[in-house]
Amino acid sequence: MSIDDIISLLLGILLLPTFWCVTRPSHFFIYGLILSALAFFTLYITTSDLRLANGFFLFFSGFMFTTGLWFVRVILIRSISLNALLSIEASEKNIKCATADSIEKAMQLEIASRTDDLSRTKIATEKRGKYILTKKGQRVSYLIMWLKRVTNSL
Amino acid sequence: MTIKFILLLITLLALGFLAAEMLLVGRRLQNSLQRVLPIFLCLFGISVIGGLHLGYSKPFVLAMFWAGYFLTWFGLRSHLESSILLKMLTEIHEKALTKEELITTYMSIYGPKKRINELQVGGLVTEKNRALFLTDAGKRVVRIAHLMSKK
Repeated sequence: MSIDDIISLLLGILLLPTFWCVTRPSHFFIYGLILSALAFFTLYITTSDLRLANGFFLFFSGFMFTTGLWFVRVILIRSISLNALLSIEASEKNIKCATADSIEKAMQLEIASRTDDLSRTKIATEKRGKYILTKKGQRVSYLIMWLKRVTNSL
Repeated sequence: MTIKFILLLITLLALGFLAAEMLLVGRRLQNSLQRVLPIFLCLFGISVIGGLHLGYSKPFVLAMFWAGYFLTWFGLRSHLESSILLKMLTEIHEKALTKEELITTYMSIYGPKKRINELQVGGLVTEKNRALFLTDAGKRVVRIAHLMSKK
């Protein structure tokens, strides 16, 4: 086992418990970035052969792993469909039936509450009772439409 | 790490993305994950074997790299497909909308009925007399979600 493998294993071991412990996804992301940078420097200091290339690849792998886990954490918190599954499970445990109507109502409430995120994340502002995109929102919107076009064109 | 190995990785990344996207044509990600996962596992295997021949025999680094790539692709794809905020964003991009109009437009595109229907199509939920029950696959997803959620 090479030193790169040992460092990446340590990085994984240190990242995974944080995935469960950290309450905010953004904190986990920053923690993962710091750990990946530390892994890069550790490899850079301890090796002499191709240390920049190998170190960068290790950092990049750690960064992608962190980003991926961050996405999973966000999905676990915010996915409406997943929350619906959890509600159905909770009802089954309480020997009650989750009706389609009650699940639909809960989903509707959640969807309505998400409009607040538009202003909170500063991607849209309300003017004369209507939502319009901010500059940041326009950039994100163009990126999303481009990504959708790419995936749909395949 | 040699240039040849970097080129191999770039080719495999592109291949993985294309193959996964091709497999998902006309399908939802949440219903097709079991079809996509083997592609990434195969590509990981190829990169480990390729690495052995091209002077990069570091399977744990490669495992982290491919796990990260798969999870990032999955997260991005899932957000593009189902994110409420992103859908609302693209609606506002077309024209300014009030809160009520935005909610009504969203509900008509991807509202609760459609979401429940997709859970049924995906085999995660069944409906009997308007009551919803988890299937075995649904129970597995819930178990994984509990395992990954904060205690």
